[in-house]
Amino acid sequence: MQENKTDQTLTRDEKALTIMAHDIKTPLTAIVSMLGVIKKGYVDEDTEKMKDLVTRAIKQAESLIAMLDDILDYTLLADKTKVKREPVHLFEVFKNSFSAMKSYTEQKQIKVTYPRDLGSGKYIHGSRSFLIRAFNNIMMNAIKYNKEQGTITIDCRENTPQNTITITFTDTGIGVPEADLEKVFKIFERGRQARKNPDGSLGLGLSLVKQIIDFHFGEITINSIMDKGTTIIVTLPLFKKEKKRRNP
Amino acid sequence: MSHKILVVEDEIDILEAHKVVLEHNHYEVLTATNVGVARELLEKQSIDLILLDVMMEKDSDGFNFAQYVKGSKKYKHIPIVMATAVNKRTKFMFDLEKDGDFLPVEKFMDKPIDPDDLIATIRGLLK
Repeated sequence: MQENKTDQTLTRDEKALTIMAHDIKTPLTAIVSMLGVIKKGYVDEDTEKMKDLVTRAIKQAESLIAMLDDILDYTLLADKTKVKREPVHLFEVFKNSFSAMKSYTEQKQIKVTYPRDLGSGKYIHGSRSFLIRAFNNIMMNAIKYNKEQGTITIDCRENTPQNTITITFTDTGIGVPEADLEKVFKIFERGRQARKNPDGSLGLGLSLVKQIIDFHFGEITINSIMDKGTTIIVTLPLFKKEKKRRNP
Repeated sequence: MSHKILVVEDEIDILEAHKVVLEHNHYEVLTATNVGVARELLEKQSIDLILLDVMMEKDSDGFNFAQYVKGSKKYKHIPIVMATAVNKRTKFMFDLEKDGDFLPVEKFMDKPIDPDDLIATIRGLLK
């Protein structure tokens, strides 16, 4: 007799693969459904309805690409030697991230506040694109779970003796239940609805962020109060350019 | 008078695809993205058929809703077409003969549903 595995007896890898397959199949099913409607002539050509279905199909395909990018990045970061490290100006990372998130914050009328010189003159030895990705994902969550017209406050402080920098992202969102706090950084531990980004796509969210922060030898923690908001605290080692020594 | 079909599906693009096909065939379409809204529509409207997604936010949503409909004297006559995302190649394929007791629906259709098959199935059930 063949043994049926239940959710409880699946290994972590099997569970992740099952969820990943479901997450991939969902947008593909939507794409095939919508294109099938067009192919079989259920909508007239060159109508707004047809354009709408094609636009929806493209959006689903794009979300699929974004999700696969997340998965590839996650696996790429598993081998720390594969990603090039270079001095990265934090100011530039914030600038890029805020610009990428602008349309989403505007859509929900969320106010983003931060000091004008945020990250200025501070360098991290790591990957510029992955740091932008990490900050984007943190911002995405702060937007997604925020209230309309809420705020996101970003601040950072240098920890002098440790030579690290602590960055905090505080939102005025719905908060995370205490029981779920330890799950937020674990891959595929959240429900499908929670994995959905504001643009409707599915992503690895904070689990990818954790992987990126680990790659930079940093730490990430979360504090949350239900109906008040969530704070994500990221601490990263600072990169100090060595001053040229004068010959004695 | 056209038949009234309730489509319950949490993926709005799939919902839209079903809506386009059904309206093209002159059915009146009511839509719900969760079972809460579906129950409300069921109470307020005279529904002729339900097209129901098997898995929604919670895996059991579709099953529970089907059991609710078929367990109710008022609604049990309404045929249910259940859309499943279970691959035909897996052993988890639903079988009406075996699964009909705990899942009393008239027809299972594997997603993505071919629009022609959907219309043929619905026509057959609404004869």
